[in-house]
Amino acid sequence: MARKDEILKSFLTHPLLETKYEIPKEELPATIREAIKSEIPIIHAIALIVEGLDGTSPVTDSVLRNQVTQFLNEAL
Amino acid sequence: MNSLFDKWKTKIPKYSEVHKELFISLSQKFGAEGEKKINLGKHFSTNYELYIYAFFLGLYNNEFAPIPEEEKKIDFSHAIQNWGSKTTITTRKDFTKLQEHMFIALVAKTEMDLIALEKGDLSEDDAVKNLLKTMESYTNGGLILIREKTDENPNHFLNPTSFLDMILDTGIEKISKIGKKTKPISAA
Amino acid sequence: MIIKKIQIDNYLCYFDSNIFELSEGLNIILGENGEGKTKFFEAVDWLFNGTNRELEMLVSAKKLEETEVGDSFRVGVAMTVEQYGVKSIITRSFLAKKEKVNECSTSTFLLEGIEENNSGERNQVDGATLLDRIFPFQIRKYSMFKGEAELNIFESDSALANLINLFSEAKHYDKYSEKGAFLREKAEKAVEESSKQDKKNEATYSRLENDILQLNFQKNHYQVYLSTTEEEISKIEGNLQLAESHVNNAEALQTLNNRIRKIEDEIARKTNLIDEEYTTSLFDEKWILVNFESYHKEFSNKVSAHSKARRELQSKFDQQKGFKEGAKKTKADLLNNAIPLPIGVPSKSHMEEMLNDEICKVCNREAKKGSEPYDFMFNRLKTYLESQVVEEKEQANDEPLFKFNYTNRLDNLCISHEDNLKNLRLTRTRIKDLFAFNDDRKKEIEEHTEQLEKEKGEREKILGNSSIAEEKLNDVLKNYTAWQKDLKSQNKNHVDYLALLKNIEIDLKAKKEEKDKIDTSSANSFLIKTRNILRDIETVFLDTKKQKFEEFIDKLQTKSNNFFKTINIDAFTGTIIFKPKNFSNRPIVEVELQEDGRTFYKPNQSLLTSMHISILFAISELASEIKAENFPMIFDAPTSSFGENKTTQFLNLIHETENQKILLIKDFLLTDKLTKNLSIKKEFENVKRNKAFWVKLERPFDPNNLKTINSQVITL
Repeated sequence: MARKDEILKSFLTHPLLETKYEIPKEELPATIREAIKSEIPIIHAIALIVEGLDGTSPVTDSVLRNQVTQFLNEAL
Repeated sequence: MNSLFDKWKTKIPKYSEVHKELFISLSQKFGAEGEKKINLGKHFSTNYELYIYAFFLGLYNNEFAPIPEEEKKIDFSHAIQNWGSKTTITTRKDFTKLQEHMFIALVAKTEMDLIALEKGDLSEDDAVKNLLKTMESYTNGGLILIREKTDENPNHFLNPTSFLDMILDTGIEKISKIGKKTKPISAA
Repeated sequence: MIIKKIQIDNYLCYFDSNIFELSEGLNIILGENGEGKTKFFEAVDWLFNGTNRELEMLVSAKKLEETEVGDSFRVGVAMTVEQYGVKSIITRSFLAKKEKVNECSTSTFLLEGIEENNSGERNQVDGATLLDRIFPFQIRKYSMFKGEAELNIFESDSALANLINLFSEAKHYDKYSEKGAFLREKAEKAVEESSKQDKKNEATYSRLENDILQLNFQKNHYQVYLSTTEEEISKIEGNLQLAESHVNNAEALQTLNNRIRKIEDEIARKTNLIDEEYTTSLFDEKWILVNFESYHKEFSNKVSAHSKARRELQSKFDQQKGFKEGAKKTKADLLNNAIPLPIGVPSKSHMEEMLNDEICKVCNREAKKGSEPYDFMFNRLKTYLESQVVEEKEQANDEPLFKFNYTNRLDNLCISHEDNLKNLRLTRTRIKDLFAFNDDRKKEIEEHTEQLEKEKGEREKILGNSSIAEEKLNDVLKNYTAWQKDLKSQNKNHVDYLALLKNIEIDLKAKKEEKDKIDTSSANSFLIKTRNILRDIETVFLDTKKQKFEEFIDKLQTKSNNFFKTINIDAFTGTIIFKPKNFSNRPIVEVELQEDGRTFYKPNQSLLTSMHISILFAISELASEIKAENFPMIFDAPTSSFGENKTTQFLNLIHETENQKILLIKDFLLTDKLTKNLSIKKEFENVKRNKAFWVKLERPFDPNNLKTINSQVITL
């Protein structure tokens, strides 16, 4: 498993996603590729951040912020 | 139904400026509690506590001493109904009953034509003014008594029972004296 | 990787060429103090980390002496290493040229690397790059140990960060908590900007922002106090333990301390029971009303006299009005023309009850229907009911005698306070009881205090019976009691600060919720939703980072304790505890020993050493796991505090560990008292090892003349 997928997994298994967002464990994506297609905003947003920081081409702070904030503002 | 009490408690009673020092030295304006209060050497949590105390002390000793004309009257801009109100200090008890007791004593001790009041010959404002005057007079008397004690001995009120004793001494028995046989707790 | 060979040429006491052919596993180098052990370690260290500074100081004096003026020779250290079947040779060396007697000039050093593949082909490569590839700098750092004094690798602040960077996943998570906070802050800002557009809440909003700022400031403030207090407490506890270690009867001291603590607690509890806030009780317990009863009576008399006078007047007035109106209302007159009671007395419900039961319950007489008393009551009730209905009409017609009614409220006040009189009468007894109670407690406290003094005297006796010199004893004694006192007050501070911080947290939470509420009503809802998700994401990032960090610490702790237990087999049963601390947002770790959950502040040197060595082995094991490779470890005199027996045990233990070890020790050597000849003790035969060397100076030598110094390497 690629490191970014490993990191994603460790974030998605945080209890908050099950208790607050009521996302069942079996629906959690296993890879960034899947997660970035997720329709659940928090999963999608985390995937964007991990891809931005540990993906093949790391992005700057402002790019990261634009990506994440824009996505969330539109999705919610 | 009309109520003198309801009117009276909206008032802010005054005291003579000559006693200002007493309020500064004996009471803590900001409602200090517990250890802090003692550390600061303050005995009363608030100005109005000292005011109430002085009133009862004057009353029990029958020290009716109207504030002389030439002395400036000041107050601490806090209406009677807010004295000891539950919303300001959470650890203490409500003072509503004490307010009623003060009022009862004032009515008992104030020369007032209630018939004239009810007939409308005496205005409510004047009646309440009378009550306040009585209140200020006994308080003034009480404050003079306290001042005499501190003038005699500035440390008089360091003893935790001093204020209690002054009230009890106006009655028949002096029970708190029993308590002085043992050392104060701080020595333990 | 393993080091196959170390060659030292003309380096300090190593005259000419000296070769250590090393083996896998445990290599032991024996040597007396000053005969070349430490110089071996330093030579290897120079190979790894050497600089160009004062190179002439590294030249072998004997070699210089034997060289002709104008001639040159090479000084250097070389290491041959084998890694995955590939041999590498790394050499650091320089040229020394004898300029005149006892003086030489040196070239700058050369760090050469040679790679030799399986077929024996040799390649010249950059020495520094090669070194870092085969034996990474960070791992080298945890592989070289020079003496017991330098074993504590956690003393530096960056030590933990280094370890995490080397061996833990946690390093990947740092940037997430940073970026999480960054994104959340930006989202908070966006919400705030949007909220501020709403002028309605402007004042409240900025007040809340200010409050939150203040509270956060306070919070930081008290957190600093708290950690200072914690440090202070562990310092005092350490001091106490040190003092206790000098005491011969430690167990009795422990018992006494427990007893003293118990008595002190009891005194504190009893002191709390004593309420001496007499002035406050004047108000809260209404003690100030102790003499009030007579005033109540005076009031009550005045009010009832007035009430009576009022009714008299009213009655006369009504009668006159009655005459005028042609006796419109027939009044039930009382005997002897007495003044009637107020019309509402007894109350409507009581009157109805009495009519129903046909009994006057005021005078306890029958009042049968149709009888005179029955009619009296009936009429009274009727008058009351009429008075409730017709008042307005009458007023319109007629000017009443009394325009106002103050009497009722005064009456009510009188009645409601009547019941309380009983309470007022009890006040004196209550005050007396409280004084008696307080006195009893004070007496008890006095007894406890006496007992406490006795126990403290006892304690001083035990402390007096200790093993340190007399004048120092006085100090310890004096301080011991003071420390105990300090500890008590610091513990109290600790509790206070915790409580304060808890309150601040509660306040902060409330303020933040209040602010969020304004946001909800004022800001754009999508901004709020974005912010909320980013808040959660930050929480997820922070928690995960913390978890990874803790997992690593846990792993390190478990591994360290495994080694620690084996080294100290059959002896100390304590545990190594890694205490992560957040020091101004930089994670640091403190290592301590605990025994039965109690911190063991002043372990002896041997215990301390074994603890540190255990941690080093744990790190080495981690390195092996992460890099899938073993790295050598080199120890200079790690066990000087162990004693030969424990050293044997220790050596046999580390013989079992997988990686290559090079140990320099001075044990197992025997000096003949007469001949001053050195020999190796028989006991060394019992030490499991893969290879052993003995470095000793060539005899005879003059310790004051460096030119006679030459360490020989004897392979055993």
